[in-house]
This record gives sequence, C-alpha cells and structure tokens, in this order.
Amino acid sequence: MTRAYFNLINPVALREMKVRMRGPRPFVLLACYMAMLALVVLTIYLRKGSTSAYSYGGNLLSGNFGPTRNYETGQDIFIAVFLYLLVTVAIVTPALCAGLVSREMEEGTYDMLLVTPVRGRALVNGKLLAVLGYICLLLLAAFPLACIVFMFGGVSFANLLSGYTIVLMECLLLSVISVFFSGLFRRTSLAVVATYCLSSLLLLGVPVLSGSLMTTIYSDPNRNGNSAYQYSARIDPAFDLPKRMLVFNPFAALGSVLAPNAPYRPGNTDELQYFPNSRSFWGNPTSYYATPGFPLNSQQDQNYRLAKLPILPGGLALWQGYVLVYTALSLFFLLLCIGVVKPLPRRPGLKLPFTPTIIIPRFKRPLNPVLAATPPATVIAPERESEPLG
Amino acid sequence: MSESSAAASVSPGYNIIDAQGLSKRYPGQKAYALEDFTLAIPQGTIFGLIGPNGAGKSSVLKILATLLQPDRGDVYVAGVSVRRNPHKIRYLIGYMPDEYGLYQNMRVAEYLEFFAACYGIHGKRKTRLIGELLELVELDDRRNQELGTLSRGMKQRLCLAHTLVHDPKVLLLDEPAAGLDPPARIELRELLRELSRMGKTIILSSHVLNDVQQMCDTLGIMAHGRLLSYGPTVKVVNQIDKLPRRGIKLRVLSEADLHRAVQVAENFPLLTKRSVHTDPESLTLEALLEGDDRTSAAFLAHLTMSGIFVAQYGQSTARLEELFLKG
Repeated sequence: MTRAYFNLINPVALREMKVRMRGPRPFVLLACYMAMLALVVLTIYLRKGSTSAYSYGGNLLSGNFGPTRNYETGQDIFIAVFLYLLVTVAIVTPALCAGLVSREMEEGTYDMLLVTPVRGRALVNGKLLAVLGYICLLLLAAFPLACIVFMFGGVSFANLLSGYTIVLMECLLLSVISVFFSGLFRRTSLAVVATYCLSSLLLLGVPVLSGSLMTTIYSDPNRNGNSAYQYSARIDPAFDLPKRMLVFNPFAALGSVLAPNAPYRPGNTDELQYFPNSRSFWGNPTSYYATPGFPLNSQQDQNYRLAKLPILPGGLALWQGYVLVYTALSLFFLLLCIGVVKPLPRRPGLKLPFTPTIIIPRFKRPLNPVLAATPPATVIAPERESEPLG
Repeated sequence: MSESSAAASVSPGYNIIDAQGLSKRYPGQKAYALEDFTLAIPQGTIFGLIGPNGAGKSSVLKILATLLQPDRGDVYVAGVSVRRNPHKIRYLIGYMPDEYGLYQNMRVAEYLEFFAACYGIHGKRKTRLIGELLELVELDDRRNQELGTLSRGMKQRLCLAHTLVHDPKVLLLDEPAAGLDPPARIELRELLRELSRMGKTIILSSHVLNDVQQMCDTLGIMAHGRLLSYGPTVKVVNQIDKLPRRGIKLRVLSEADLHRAVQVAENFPLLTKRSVHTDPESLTLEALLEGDDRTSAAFLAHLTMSGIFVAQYGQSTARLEELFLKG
C-alpha cells in the first residue's frame, strides 16, 4: 500500500525529499528554529504590560505592569510569530531553492536527468514540492506555538489561517522565483543573489517606495485647491494608488489581518476610539490596529487618513489582495520556470510566419584553410560481415 | 554513392542509427560544430567515434540524446526521428555524458531506483531489475554504499548501469574510458562486450584511438565536425598505418636530453614543420614525421646516435586528425 502510494509521487520530489531529510542536519535546524521561536514568544509574553495603554511604565518582569488586557498580549504574539515566519521564509527559501537546478548543472547530473522522459513540468513541480514540503514542515512545527494566542484572545482562528496563507504565498512565490533564476543563470551563487535582491525589493523596497510616493503626493500644494490636507480617496482615487502597492508586501498584508480598516499607529496626543479587538501599541512598527475618532479635517484626521490601508477593488482587505497578486505572480514564474528548466526542442511543424533569413542575412561560411584540404569521408567496406553477436 | 548509402552498405543488417546531413553551429561561434554529418550504424555493433577535442563527437551524441537540436538534417533511432519525437527517443537510448555527476548523498541502489522511477518502472519489476543491473556491473555487494565513497571505476560502472534501467536499444557513451586505470578499462571492455552480446548497439566516443580500438567493431574518425573515415576497426587502423605520416612520442631521462632532442628533431629532414611539442614535466616530446615506419625507426636511431638516452619511444595517436587532414 505504502509502496503504491510512493509510486504515484513524482520521482524527482521523492528523491529530493529523501536526500533533504537524511542525517541529523535538518532536525538540528528544525530544533534551532523552534528554540528561536519559543524565545520570541517568551519575550513578548514577558513584555506584557510594558506597552499597554494602561501601563504604569513597568512590565511583567519588573512587577509594575498595571492592569493589562489579555487580547493585547494575544495580538502581540500573533504578530511576532508571523513576522518571525515571514522573515524565516524570506531567508530560508532562496537558500534552499536557488541551487535546485543550477546545482544539478554544476554537478553534472542535469544532462542525465534531461534525457529521461521526466518532462520539464514534472521536474519543476517535483523540486518545488520537495522544498515546499520541507518549509511546510517548519511552518507546521510553529503551529502549536502560534496557537498560544488563543489562550489570550484577540485573535480568531480565521486570523491564524490568514496569517498562514500570507506566509505560504510568500514561500511559494520566492521558491518559484528562486527556481526560475536557478535555471536561468545556471549558477547557484548568482541565483541566490538575484532572489535575495528581488525578495528585498518586495519586503523592504515596496514599503519605502510606497511611502515616498505618498509623501510626494501629500506635499504637493497644488492638490485639491492648494491644500495638502484637502483630499479624499473617494473623490480622488489616484491618491490611493501608492498605498495599493502594498499588496506586494507581506508585512503590510500581515498588518491588515487584525485591523483591515484601521491601520493607524496613533501618536501620544491622539484621541483614540477603542474597539474590543483593536488597541494602540506604542513603539511597535507593525501595529496599525487602532481606530481613532477625530474631528473632521483636523490634523489628526489627516494623519489617520494618510496611514490608513488602501481601499482595494471589490472591498477586499489588503491581505486578500496580496494573496491574489502573489498567486498570479507565482503562476507566471512557474510557467517561466518550466520553459527555462527543460526547454523542449522546437517542433519542426511550428514555424514563424516569416523566414528568419529575410531578417538575418546568412553569409556563406568562410572557408577554413584546414577544412578545405579535408578529404571526403573514406568508407571502408569490410571483406566480410561484422562478427556475429551473442 | 552518397555517404549514407555507402555507410549502410557496411553491413546488410538493420541500421538502428541513421544520421542524415547533420549540421550544428553553436550560438556565437563562427565554425560549425558539425557539418553535413552523415552516418549509419547497424544494430548490435559497438561503434567508436574517434577525434580530437572539439571534433564534434559530443555534439553528435548530444543530438542523438535529444539534448541538442541540429540546425539542419535529422537522425533516426530505430526509425524514430530525434527532431520530431524526442520524447519517444528517450525510451530508446541510454546516455552517459563525458562529465557525468552522481548524487553524492544517495546510495547505490537508491540511485538506480530513482532513474527507474523516472522511466515509470515500479514495484517488483524495479526490484528485480536493479538486482540484475547491480549484478551485471558487479556492484551488488555495495548496494547500500553512498555514492561519494565509490571509486572512479565503480562510479563509471554505476553510471553505465543507470543508462540500462529502461532496457534501451542504443547506448551513447561519451568518453567512457577517460580517467580509468588499465584494470578498469579491461572491466569496461568486458562489460561492453557483454552488453553487445545482449543485443545493444553501443556508440562511444574517445579522443585516443588506443582506448577504443579493442572495444569497437566499427570506428569513425572525426575532425572539425566532419566524418573523415568510417569502417571496421581493423581496416581503419590499417588505413592509419598506411598513411604517409607518423606521430611519434618519446620520453627522455633528463631535461638536458629533452632540449637536445628538440634540436635533433628540428634538424631532422623529414620532420613536419612546427609539429614538435614538449612537456618538461613528464620529459616527453611529440612530433610528426613525413614517412612510414622506417622514417620513425630512422629518427630513433638518429636520436640514439646523438647520445640522447631515450627511455620510451612509440607512436602518438592523440593527434590522429593531423594524420588525416594533412596526410
């Protein structure tokens, strides 16, 4: 039964999985990763109270933390755990995937794989399946620790699933891009560098670009009647575009899970209108979860609007838009991967509607003086048939 | 008579390989790697493709293995076109590249199991097949050994075994004897003979005639992407012997002797111009002489009479193409 099951699995995936899990290394890595995550969760728990709106300035360790609300701790742990997963995936995925094709080329096993009937699609899928399997193991191992948030509240199971979807989509896109670069450059080091550059662009470059574009737009005094503060996304939809770029960013998507419509990080003097599952979190750059109540057209109202997450078409939350965009990008790069990894020989039936000779003039090959003297192939007829075989 | 029909006439048997007018030029290269290459190989033969580095041997094998598309021409393996049906061809051929790699962290049996799975062979059939293959290449006692710990000869045999997992009709072996010590070469020769007796057609390449002349029934000599000569091994070797040019290779005892040998060679009237090559590390000298075996013997006598101690003296076969091109 087990054997029959394994026969169905892509042979490339099976080989990769077997080899990847061989020896103590993967388990040691898993243990280190879990220990780090546990440390992160413990640190957040011990800081309980230090950032609460009701805090006296102390924390759990100092014993002077004042009255706190459990859901604050739950939301902090949720954000911390998934930030840890997002960063881990961003570091680990290119390292695991960037050599999947190029290492085969470097080690001389690629040609032998190409002459088997395994098709390009199966080759890419098999390799991706193996790596995604290993990363999913890492993510699933974090699940019990992530479930600690339910002890504190403030996070629903749907929020947890959304968090996992965001991490998985990041993992899928980065792995596909890594394999694509691996097949394109045929050198592992180059593929690793290219993938890290692209992932840095998505993770860090997009928020910076979005922020700088927004600043440029807001500081334009000619907008909406010479007032930088007189704007509305409803009457000026173009205004929201820089923010919509955040659909490429997993951190912003994670921030939108807990507070899809209130991403504002309030200042000290802001009048905040609290809701049961929203809160202020001083000093935490990832917390956007407060919904303030301001007088209209006040400076604080403008600040709130500036920081508010974008309005996506169809009323989608930012993280939902992120999932759609990353799915589309993953499929796009997957198709490119299949073309790059095992290019199928061009079929003679598929011809261009024009002859390349019209565009590229073909010159007569210059006569090689050595070849010019080459005699035609000499075929020597045997006196008898070759030796009988067998 | 065209080359193809002439080649076909070598044996009245069925031509399992039929290459017609193959041409291939790599992007960015001016010279053709293959030019109008035509060849027919009867079923069950061991065919050796000889030529210097860059002659186009590997390109021929890669085209046969569906790894390269020819610019012009086509090859038929057992009647199937490489251009039109590359997927079908992959079931008909087993290919061992010149620089093959092995998955170092796999075990011997696992390695074969992986390739069997790639060809859709599963279950009891796979187990039986792997047992038989390991027995054939004499690695059955090492089935659980990691590939990284195998010797070069064992790796070669294992790689050969992997080309056989799907019982192909044609084996394409690129430089199979390269880097093997004499006992391993003898083992390889015996193995190829055994496979030939099993009905496999084997095409192997080498740049050294001595490596393959004892393994092959038929030889083809290539240079600059062209087939220069083709026929039964004995005949081709005889033809080389009859060529009015000899490549010689000698080893002397000291560096001083090597310098003097170069001077003597350059003053020898039957030396081909600019054909002297020396290797100070191994104290060897290679040169081309215009003449037959008597010229070669006279050159040796000339060296000895000049007071040079010659430790080894023999014919050089490495620059085979020079004999053909200029002979």
